[in-house]
Amino acid sequence: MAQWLLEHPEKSALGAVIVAGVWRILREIWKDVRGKQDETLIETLLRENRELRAELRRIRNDHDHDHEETP
Amino acid sequence: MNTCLGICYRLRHLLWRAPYSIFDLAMSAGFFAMGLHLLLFPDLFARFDGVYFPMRRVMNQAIWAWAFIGCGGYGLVIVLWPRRPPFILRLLARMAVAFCLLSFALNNLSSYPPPMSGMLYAVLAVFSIWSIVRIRCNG
Repeated sequence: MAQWLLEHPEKSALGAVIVAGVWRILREIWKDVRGKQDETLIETLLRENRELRAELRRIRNDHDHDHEETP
Repeated sequence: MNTCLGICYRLRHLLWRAPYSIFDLAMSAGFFAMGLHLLLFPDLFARFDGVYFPMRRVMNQAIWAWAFIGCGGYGLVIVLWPRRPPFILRLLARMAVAFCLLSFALNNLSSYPPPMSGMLYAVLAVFSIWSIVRIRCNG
């Protein structure tokens, strides 16, 4: 193997460089996909947060109305 | 023991955090200059046939010269461009320089006994491959 590498320096160099480059591109694609999943999770958390705040506001309003109705 | 750990930490920091732009600049400029050198002395491969035989077997000297000028010049344009070029262009620039370095390193190491420069090219080639592996899309 080592002998073949040394006998064909240009082919070995090209192969090593292409393998490293393709590996880097695949890593970036994988990171992109993972990043999108994280983004979805953040969006879910934001939506849940919005819903909870709306619910809290509604409960607070109901509570205020209850107080107004009592003599 | 602490010193050893400190050195390991420092090496790890350099490999993972250090900017590679200066390496890109130096290697690109080096290969651009080497291409010009090969054009200036067209009988270099013939004079040092023992060392450059594997390279001469693949292509003649003039083509190697233009390949080095192309790879080095492209690397220089990418590293000196005022705005950050797209990821794929930066990756290709590093791949081009790494190809030149690896070719030189393997070429030198394949002749017996290998010339002194073989070790230098081998170390630089390893670092150039590492710079491909560490390149970042948003870096």
